[in-house]
Amino acid sequence: MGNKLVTFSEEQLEEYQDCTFFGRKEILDVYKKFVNLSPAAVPEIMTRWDCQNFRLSRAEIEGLPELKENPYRRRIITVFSEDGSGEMSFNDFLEMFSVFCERAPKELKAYYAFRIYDYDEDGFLSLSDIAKTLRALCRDSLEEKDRRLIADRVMKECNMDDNGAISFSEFENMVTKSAEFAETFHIRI
Amino acid sequence: MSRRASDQSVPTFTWDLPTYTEYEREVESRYGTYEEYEMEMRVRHRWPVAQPDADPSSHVVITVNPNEPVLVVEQRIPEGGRYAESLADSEAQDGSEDGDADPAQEAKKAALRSHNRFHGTRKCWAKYCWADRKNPARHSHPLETLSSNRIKTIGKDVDLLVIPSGPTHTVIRFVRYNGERIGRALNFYGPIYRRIEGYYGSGVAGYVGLINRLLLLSLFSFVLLFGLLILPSIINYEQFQTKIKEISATKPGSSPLGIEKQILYSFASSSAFGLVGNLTIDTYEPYLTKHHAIALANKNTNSSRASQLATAALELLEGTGWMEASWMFLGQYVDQLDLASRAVLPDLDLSTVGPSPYNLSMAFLFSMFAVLTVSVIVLIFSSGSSLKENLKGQHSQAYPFCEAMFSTWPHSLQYENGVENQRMTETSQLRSFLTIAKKRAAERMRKTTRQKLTVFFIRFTVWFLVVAFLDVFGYLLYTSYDEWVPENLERIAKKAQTETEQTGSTSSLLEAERFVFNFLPSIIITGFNTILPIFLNFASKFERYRSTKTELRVTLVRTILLRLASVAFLLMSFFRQLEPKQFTVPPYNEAIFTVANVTTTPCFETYVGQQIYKVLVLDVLVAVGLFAGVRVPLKILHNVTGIEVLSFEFDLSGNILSAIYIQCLYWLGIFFSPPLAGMAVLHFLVVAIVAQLGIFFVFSPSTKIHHSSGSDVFFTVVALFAFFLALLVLGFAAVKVQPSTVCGPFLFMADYPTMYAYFMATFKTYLASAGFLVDVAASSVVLFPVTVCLAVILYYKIATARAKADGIKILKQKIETATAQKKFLEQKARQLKKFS
Repeated sequence: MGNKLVTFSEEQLEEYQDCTFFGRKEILDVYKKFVNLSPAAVPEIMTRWDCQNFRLSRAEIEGLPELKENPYRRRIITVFSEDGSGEMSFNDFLEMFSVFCERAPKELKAYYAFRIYDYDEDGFLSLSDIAKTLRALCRDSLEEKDRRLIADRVMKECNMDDNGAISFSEFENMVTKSAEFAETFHIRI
Repeated sequence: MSRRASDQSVPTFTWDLPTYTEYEREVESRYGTYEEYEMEMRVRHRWPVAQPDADPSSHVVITVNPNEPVLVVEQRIPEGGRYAESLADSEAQDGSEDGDADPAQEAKKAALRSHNRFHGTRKCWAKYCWADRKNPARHSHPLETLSSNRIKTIGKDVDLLVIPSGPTHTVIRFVRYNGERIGRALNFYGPIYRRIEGYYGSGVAGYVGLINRLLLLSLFSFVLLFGLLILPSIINYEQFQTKIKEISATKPGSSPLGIEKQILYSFASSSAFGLVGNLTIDTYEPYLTKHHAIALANKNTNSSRASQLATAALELLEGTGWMEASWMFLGQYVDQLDLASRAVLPDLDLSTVGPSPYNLSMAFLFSMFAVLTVSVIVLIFSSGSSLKENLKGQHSQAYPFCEAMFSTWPHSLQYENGVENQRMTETSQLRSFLTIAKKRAAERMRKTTRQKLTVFFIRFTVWFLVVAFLDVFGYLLYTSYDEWVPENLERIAKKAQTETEQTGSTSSLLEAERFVFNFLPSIIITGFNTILPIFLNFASKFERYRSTKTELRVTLVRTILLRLASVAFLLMSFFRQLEPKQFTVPPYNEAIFTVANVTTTPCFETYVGQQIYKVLVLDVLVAVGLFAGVRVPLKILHNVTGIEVLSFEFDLSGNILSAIYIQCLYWLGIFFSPPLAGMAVLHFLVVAIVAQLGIFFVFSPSTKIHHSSGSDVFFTVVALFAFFLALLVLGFAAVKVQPSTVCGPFLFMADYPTMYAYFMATFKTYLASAGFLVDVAASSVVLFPVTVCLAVILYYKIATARAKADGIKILKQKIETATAQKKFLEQKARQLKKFS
């Protein structure tokens, strides 16, 4: 690093490397993204306290180019902010990219995907959750009737125990069988 | 908050939290008391309560609701838990923001903020877990089902990755991390890649990745070949030259060139080579670098500098002339030191020109072997993970709607156009699923015999046309190599001869004619490869396939057929050329011209190398020309007037196939022309640049959905097939074909019928005992049992795979029966409720 400003201590970087799926350079890349969201506010030296407590608001996070056009951005931000408020600390931010990165295992991705699609956060994907997902996915290009039919179909395919809602294990079962899931649930940094 | 739920949502596992004092101290430093921490954990992860009577509010309550005719399983979660919190949040998000938050919640949030989950000794990935490498027992979650180095989901809320301990894993991590760093440094398109992914999704980005991989493979091959073969050959030649100069300095009246010619003549006149009897040292023209270059230079001395340059440029395209005399083709790779040390000249002492310390022939075989091995490793490794994924996901067709809903949205998209396009694609896909599901049965019923016949007729006609086109293609290529090119070149050569005798020089028209005929086979190959895919795409639209997927697949199969056919036809024409010929007139090719006085096979290595080189050169030119001359003007026309002549959709599969085809030609080509590996680097660079320019400025994302992982495997299989085709041909060339006796690294090996025979003989002299082992290993005594063994293993694997598939079926049935039983019990419960 030389005379350059040291954003993270060696120890912090070590910890991040152990706890995420990132290497050193990638962690710094994520930090750069974090800074770009609010260049004036983000501290140049990130202490442990800053990493956990300095937070950017939902509006600022939504300015992230990777999320700007994502139909699920609101849910992603809610799920990854630690208290669900949509405010994100650097730790949350890093965790988000870590989950979305290539090396994160499918099971972990499935877990977070499930939470993203679980709009009402009750631990189940109900018909209303599916309808909301469908709305986010297709906007208004599908008719109400078709949308309902599709939601029914999805429920029929996935809901193995016939209890009217998709549980996590059912979702995981479906997603791990899908060859594309790990590839699409991926944001390059 | 009643919610229908199955009993599987109720966690059934229990465990004890570790009670280390140090651990508690650590926790207390963060949370105040251990109890508070435990409570927090319970709330966050919805841990089941170990003692059922401890807290009545956090129990699973099973009630039978009289109003609702279904068994209701309700899971109550303590007040103020994550559930309530998130509910409050989501309500607040919906609009009605109430300012008075619960102070207890606020305190909890503050406590959360005050600790840093990445801090301290924490090495486990799960949130709020303080286990580290030294104390793996400290995980704050159950470990029973945890395998040491895999992530597993336990329950429904806890996920973790245990970074494995131990020196091997440290090494693995180090290698993996640094390997990735090197990989990143070698990835030339890192940032561009992301932009492409942002616009087009992962499929097209995968194509750019493939080009990048092939480029790196070529670069590696070139470095390998340069180090092992090209550089040693040059050094060998230079050493030979200096030694010859020394000898000629001691002996007056001799020139280095003369001595070299004498050495070569002594070989050529030995009976093994079967030279024409009346050949003397004066009429003999050696086919080797210096002599060849001098002979060529003598031919052009009386023409002007401009015409010389023009000729040189033409020769660059054709691979003849000065290119042929350079290190470009295998014919020039001769171990001259070795040759000189074997020669016995009556009036010269060649004892100082010792045998070469470096065996070029063996180096050639080894470097080829290394390049091909690296290629196959790269191919297998690049497909390994996606192949596995695909095999796992082969039943994913059971969930078309779920798949379209939950797992096809590419989160990497980040530009509005791409997102809108993807949205439209996904919607249309969902809609098509819906129509298929609705109408499949009806459609089948409704189709009349006449319609069926029409469709059959159309498809039959198109297939017939495709096969006919391929036949015409094969016929044209074959005849052009066999008749048109030699006959016309012969005619042109004769005409040129008479013209030179009359006027002193040949007309440029004749030169142009000669050039065209030289390129005729390449033009036929490239022409068909360019035009036929357009026709195939066009034709499949009329065939009325039920889904676009089938349509794409059919087109793809046809395109593969075309590409493979062009490689196969090319090879077939080469093997026709290998037959020994006696040339009566100056023949059409420099490679054969210079050895015209030889009755055996001409220098076919150089000839084949030149043909492949020409095909590749034309491929580059056509790719650049089509892009700059057709695509870009059409795009400008489209932007100005709105007319769309050709579709601007990026043809992903066609481009991938074309890249594989190019790579296949290079695999074949480097055997006959080692520096082609370097040209491959340039070629893939050009392809990459053209593709990127096209992606950013000309093409638009395809409206057809692309299932990347499935097609990845498909394309890798095609690439592997192409590789094995190339391997087969090269193996045939090494094991069955006699190498040229007038040029190349196997020049002096008339004793050995093939390269393989030479290899075995040399190997045995190096390692006498190993030679015996090799003999035994290659004998049928060993090979037969090994084959049988492999067949048995294959059978066993297939049998287990089938058994497992059956097992899966049985398990599925079990689930179904369990569901049916549950429903039955529900009914019973309802009936009981009614009666009571």
